[in-house]
Amino acid sequence: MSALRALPSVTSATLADAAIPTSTTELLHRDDIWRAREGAQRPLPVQTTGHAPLDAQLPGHGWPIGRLSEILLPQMGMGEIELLLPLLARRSQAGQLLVYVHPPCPPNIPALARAGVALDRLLLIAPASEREALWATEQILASGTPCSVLLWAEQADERAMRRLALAAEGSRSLALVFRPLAQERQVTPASLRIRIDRPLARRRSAFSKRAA
Amino acid sequence: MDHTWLCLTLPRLALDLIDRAQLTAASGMPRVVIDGPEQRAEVHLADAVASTFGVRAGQRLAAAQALAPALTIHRRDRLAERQALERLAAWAYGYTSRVSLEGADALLLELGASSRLFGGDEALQARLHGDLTALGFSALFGYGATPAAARLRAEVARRDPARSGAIYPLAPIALGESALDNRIVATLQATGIRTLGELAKLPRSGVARRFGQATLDYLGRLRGELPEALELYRPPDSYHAWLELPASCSSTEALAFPLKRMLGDLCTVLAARDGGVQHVMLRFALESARRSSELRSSIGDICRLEVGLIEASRDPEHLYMLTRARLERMRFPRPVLGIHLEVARLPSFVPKFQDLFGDSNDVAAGLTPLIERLSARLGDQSLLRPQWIADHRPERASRWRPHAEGAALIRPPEGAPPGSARPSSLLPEPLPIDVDAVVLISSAERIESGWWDDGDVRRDYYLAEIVDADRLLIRGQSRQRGRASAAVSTATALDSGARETFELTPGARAWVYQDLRQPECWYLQGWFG
Repeated sequence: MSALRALPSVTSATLADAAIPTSTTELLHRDDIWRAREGAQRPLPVQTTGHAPLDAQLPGHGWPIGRLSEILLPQMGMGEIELLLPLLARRSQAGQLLVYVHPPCPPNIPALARAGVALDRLLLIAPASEREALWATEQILASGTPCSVLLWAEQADERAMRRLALAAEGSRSLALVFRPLAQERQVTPASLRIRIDRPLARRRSAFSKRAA
Repeated sequence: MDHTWLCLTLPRLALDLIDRAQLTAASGMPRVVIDGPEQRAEVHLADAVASTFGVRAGQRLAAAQALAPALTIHRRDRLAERQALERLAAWAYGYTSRVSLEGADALLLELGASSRLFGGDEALQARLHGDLTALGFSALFGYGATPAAARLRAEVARRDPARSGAIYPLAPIALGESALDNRIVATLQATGIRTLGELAKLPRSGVARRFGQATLDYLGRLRGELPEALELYRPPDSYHAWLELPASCSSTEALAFPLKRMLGDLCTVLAARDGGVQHVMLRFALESARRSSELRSSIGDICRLEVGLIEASRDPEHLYMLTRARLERMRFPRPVLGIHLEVARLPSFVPKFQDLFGDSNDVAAGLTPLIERLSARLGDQSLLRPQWIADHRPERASRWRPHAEGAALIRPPEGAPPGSARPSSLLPEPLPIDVDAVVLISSAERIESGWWDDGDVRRDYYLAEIVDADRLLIRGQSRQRGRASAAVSTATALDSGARETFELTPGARAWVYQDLRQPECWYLQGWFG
């Protein structure tokens, strides 16, 4: 997918030629290659979260779309859903499926409805195991249908996360994984990692890392 | 005269059926199908290998075994043959509406009207051949201007397969090949009349007087002078197929091949009817603990497998993929003896598809296959959609229903939604807590409802912040001892996996209430996630 993004710069070349960039200049146009000298990456596709202070902090000033993002938190009840609810509601109203995969606690339907989530786009997946949950998430992301997928994963290792990141890439989906704080030590393939230490109502959210 | 009638005969029907049920490709061993009572069994059909040993139809089984000691013996299953013929009639119905079942192993089709549609006689014949090969049947073709003529050429082809599908004059055909009564044939032969042509040249009145009106009528039907009443096939409204496995099998992988065949048959019928299927019921007959030679009495339990589709389909690959995904999750306690496939309702036309979300864009975007794939692997109970019920009691306002139950009614409550804060996630069941472990940070919101049903509640709800995570859950009443967070998640009931790593933390915001009928009792009902 990312290789094909080099196409516009080599208009006359065939697809096969374009897949193998011939010069360094072309290579540097790729989204997934960045130069340390430039500091920040080229902007990722983002969508505004509806919270101006949060947008200001985020790379690209919005939530990444088509990339994997993760939120590390100690437990439910940290305001982690409310943080994204305006964005999720907007996406569901645009007809995109909102999927909760394997949440420790099912969503409260009236609360989501009040936030503007189109309930006919809401789907809850409650698989028997986390392995199945990871499988389902990957299937959804890889299906090509733009969705918003929220996954709660506790034992996901780096390999599982990398599979999700690959599936999310170029999917036009919002792919978000909630993970326990203890997994902060793990290397992450996610494009955005947010750590929530204290309930967000107190406006204390620490941004700890941005991975490539 | 156009040869618009086709008589299809299936001389190897019994063997074809055995091959189709075979888990693997046929081995090189001689095989026979036997018929008749146990003591006096006769060879009904011998395969090519058995024929090289000199085994012929009609031989006594003992004689056949003497000729070919390594003989594999199958018993003829007339019911399965009949079902196969009916399935083929349903297949043929896709080419013409005039199909009739002829005896135990033949079909009569009127193709004159459909020949042009399928690109001419030759193209149509090639198509029929291709279909039959794909279905795993070997058939002989007999064409004719009348049903009787088609039947006659099909009979000739039975004895001389090289003449299958050929058109040749009927006059030189020997009387023995015809459908005439054997006694009459013998009388005619005794008078020197050996072929149909010679018989036709005889004066009609004399033939009628000496050999009966039936003989004359037969000639009339052959030449099309007399109409023939056919009992035309009518497609059934449901579909049943039973397949007995040649050897009982306990692994789900081994069932793949026969299942694929059965689904392929189903799809052929569906294609012929220009319909699709949305629900397939598979029943796996398991061997009973008591062994018995009779199949019926050796079947113990039945394992069911339902395959539901969101959108009617008749794509065998798609059906097979969904079935396999479900099959992989099944465990058979005992070996499987046979498979029964049932479709209770066959739609008479391709149904206008009704999308689950009422949005036809989903299909273009691949959502329907995605949902089908997910529910095939995870199970129907794992895919849930919301239902919002007009009730002030939070636990009754949120309902989750299986996705497969079809479009759920999402009817927002009449009047405005409740005015104060609502948590974004809700425990399916409130958990008793120690109120000293939390700080109430909002004023009370009273919910008093349900006096008319059995769920009468009087509660004061608060937004609370956890201050002492260890003391929050009252251990004696929590569903699971041990870590508090595990108790919370086990009670969610939707989750069977152990949750160990999310921990209750001071600062998390919860939705708690005081039960006003027992003011000392406090409960946790949701999280402000």
